[in-house]
Amino acid sequence: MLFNSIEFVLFLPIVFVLYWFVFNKSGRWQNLLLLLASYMFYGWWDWRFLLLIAFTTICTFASGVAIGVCYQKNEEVSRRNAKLFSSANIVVNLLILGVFKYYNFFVASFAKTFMGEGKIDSLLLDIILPVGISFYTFQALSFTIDVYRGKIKPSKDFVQVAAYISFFPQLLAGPIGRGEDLIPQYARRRVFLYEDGADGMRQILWGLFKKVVVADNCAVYVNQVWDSYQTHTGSTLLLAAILYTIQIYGDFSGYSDMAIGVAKLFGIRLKQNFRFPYFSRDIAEFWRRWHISLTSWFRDYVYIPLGGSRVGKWRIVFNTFVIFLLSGLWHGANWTFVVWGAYHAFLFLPLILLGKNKRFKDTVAENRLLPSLKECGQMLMTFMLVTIGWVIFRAESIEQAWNFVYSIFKSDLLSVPFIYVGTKRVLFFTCFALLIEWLSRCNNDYGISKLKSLPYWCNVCALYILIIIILEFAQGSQSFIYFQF
Amino acid sequence: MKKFVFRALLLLGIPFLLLVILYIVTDPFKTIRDFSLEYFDVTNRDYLSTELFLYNSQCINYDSFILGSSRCCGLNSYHWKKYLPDSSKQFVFQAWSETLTGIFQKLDFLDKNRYNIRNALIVIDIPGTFSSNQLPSETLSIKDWRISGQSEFMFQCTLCYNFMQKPSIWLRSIKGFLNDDKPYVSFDTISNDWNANNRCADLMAVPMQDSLNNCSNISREVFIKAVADYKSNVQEIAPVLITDDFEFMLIEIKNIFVKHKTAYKIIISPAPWQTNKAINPVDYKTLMSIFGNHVFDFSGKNTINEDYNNFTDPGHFGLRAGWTIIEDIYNSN
Repeated sequence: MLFNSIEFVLFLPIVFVLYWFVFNKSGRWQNLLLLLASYMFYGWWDWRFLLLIAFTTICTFASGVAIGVCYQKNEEVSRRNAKLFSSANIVVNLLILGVFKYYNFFVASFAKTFMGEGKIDSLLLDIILPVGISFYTFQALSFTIDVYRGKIKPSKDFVQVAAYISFFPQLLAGPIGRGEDLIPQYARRRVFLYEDGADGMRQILWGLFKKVVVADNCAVYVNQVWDSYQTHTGSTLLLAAILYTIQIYGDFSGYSDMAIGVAKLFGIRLKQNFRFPYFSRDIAEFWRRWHISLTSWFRDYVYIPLGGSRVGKWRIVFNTFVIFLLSGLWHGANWTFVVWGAYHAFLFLPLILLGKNKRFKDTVAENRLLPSLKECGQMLMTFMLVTIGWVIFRAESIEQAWNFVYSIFKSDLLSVPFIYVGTKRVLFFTCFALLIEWLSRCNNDYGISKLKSLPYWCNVCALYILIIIILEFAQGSQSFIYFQF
Repeated sequence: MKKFVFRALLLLGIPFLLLVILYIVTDPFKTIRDFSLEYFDVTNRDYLSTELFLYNSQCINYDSFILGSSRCCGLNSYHWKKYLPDSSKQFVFQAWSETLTGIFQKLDFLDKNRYNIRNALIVIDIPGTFSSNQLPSETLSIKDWRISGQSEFMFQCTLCYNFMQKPSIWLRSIKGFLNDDKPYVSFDTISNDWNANNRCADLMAVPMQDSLNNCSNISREVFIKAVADYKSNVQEIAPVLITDDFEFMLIEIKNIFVKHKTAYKIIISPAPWQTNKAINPVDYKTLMSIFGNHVFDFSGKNTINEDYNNFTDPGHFGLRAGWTIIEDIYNSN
């Protein structure tokens, strides 16, 4: 069920009431309810998916317990065994992910290259990609690795681990949680705090606005242009590319906001996943602000173990490419994602090699209302580079991506783009959302978090205005882009 | 905790109750009060068609039906009458976004309630007619509960829910209720033909009516260019759309026609822009195998589709084209 569906609107209050009024005796009972609710939520998509997540959970839990037993013995052999258990769980989970997500892709690519078109069908598996597999697999791996590294104690409570892996707000599209952040929260009884509840509701509303008003309205224009991109002028294609950039942000960050908001209602704090990435002054800053849970996961569990930046130049180049290519591949089984990853690697590399990847650690125009001209230029440049990347990301093939980008510059770039009745509304809401986020950028929180400091009646008015806008201007069901990953 | 729950109930619950009361009092879709021609909106064509049919059939013995989606608007019962017995009484039993499920349910309704079906025209559009076998729930396309078999309570709940999702309707319904608005009736109150005022001007239908300029998705110039491109491009074929479920419904429709000894025609609608695709040969063969030479294919490239003057907007052929179609199908035998 989607967050913006009637089923979820009925599901959430029921789970909320049960959680705080019936199952609130202890953290264990709360975890049990969360587990049951999460499995019901996930099974709503397809009950067969439950078998896979259950298997992942059992393997993760078992490996955690086994590592714990090994560490108790405190011998060299035991430490080696701990590594073995940890590696085994990583391999098993990545194998599952690989088979479901990448088998057909790699086999088809291999067969097409070496065996010709005719042989492909017989080699492919007839399997569906379980929703959210990339997210919960990484979350499970985080638990195992954190236990192995000693950052958290292995849990002997299966329900706790299962609830951690399957927690429904973040199950389908993140944010990807970390064992060291979340397991301590599941280990204790959660107590309801009014401020968390109210803040959660605000964040859900803001996420819903970004998704159904901004992203879905952009999608109408974007899809229309992409379906017949060969017939449109360069200016139209550029507008479509920019609106897709907004769409993917609204879609994904909107979902993240909803997930974080829903988690707050249950007393679970998830980490922020986006920090106003389109106000970044360079690509390095962009990647510190975009899909933070994934980029930090790759940094902590792949990049740093490979040596990070504390190695020779060529090794840094190699490490950087590995991270970005893996990140691209994580998003989907298509060469366009790999090329997208490589594209960002090429943009990132000069910064890291010159040691300029950490120059913008503060927020742009901090303590000022308007950015300087230089900052504007930097943001615009970064935005355009990212936009081109999203064209590659969205395309169905590399050829299509190239044709689209080429067509932007080939013809009529300065002409008036194709505008239909809905376009003005799209542009209005996009500007509105960006303005709100610009004004909130220093808060390090979601867009309308500043309402917290305003009187109650302001919050109520804002709530009703936002609800009315969402009801009136929501587009009919566009699925979340990141569900396909 | 209690403070949070209390405030949530207050802030969300009271507006919810107010909206339910507003819905019942203002009756924005005119589905609560008893049917009256003076107090009728055309929001839901399926509901309108059913109400009008049941209202009129108390004194009119309808026996000739045009069924289909908004694509039927180009077919006029006054054209059709020329080829029917003098005693026949026509009714356009139409619905917006009608699918085969809706068409089948209407015929089933007529059959079960012992109405005569002496003549029938079914308009199939590619891919709309075969787009889904699920019942729609949007305000414009939800099925009348007597046709769909849904309970009246669920029907009203669905409309109430749709009402709550559109703040612009709240204001309009309050305004309409306070002003006691009488809606503009744009359908024929006997035959249910759409655009009643235009029926006498059918032969002189104005090409490319102004409605095209107000079309939400495309400009007039783009449409003209699209038709020109359509003429020069290779014809695209729609994918196979008739599933087992749809095939079953088609067979049931045929059985109803056989039972009523219906003189029927199946028209595959022309539509050059919204679909740009001709019916798939597999689907055509399926239709032919069930209905034989009662099937007339106007999809794909033909003289109707290649003249933009035949369309009132990119997806709907006008009365002039409708007249041509009727002439064609009755003179081809």
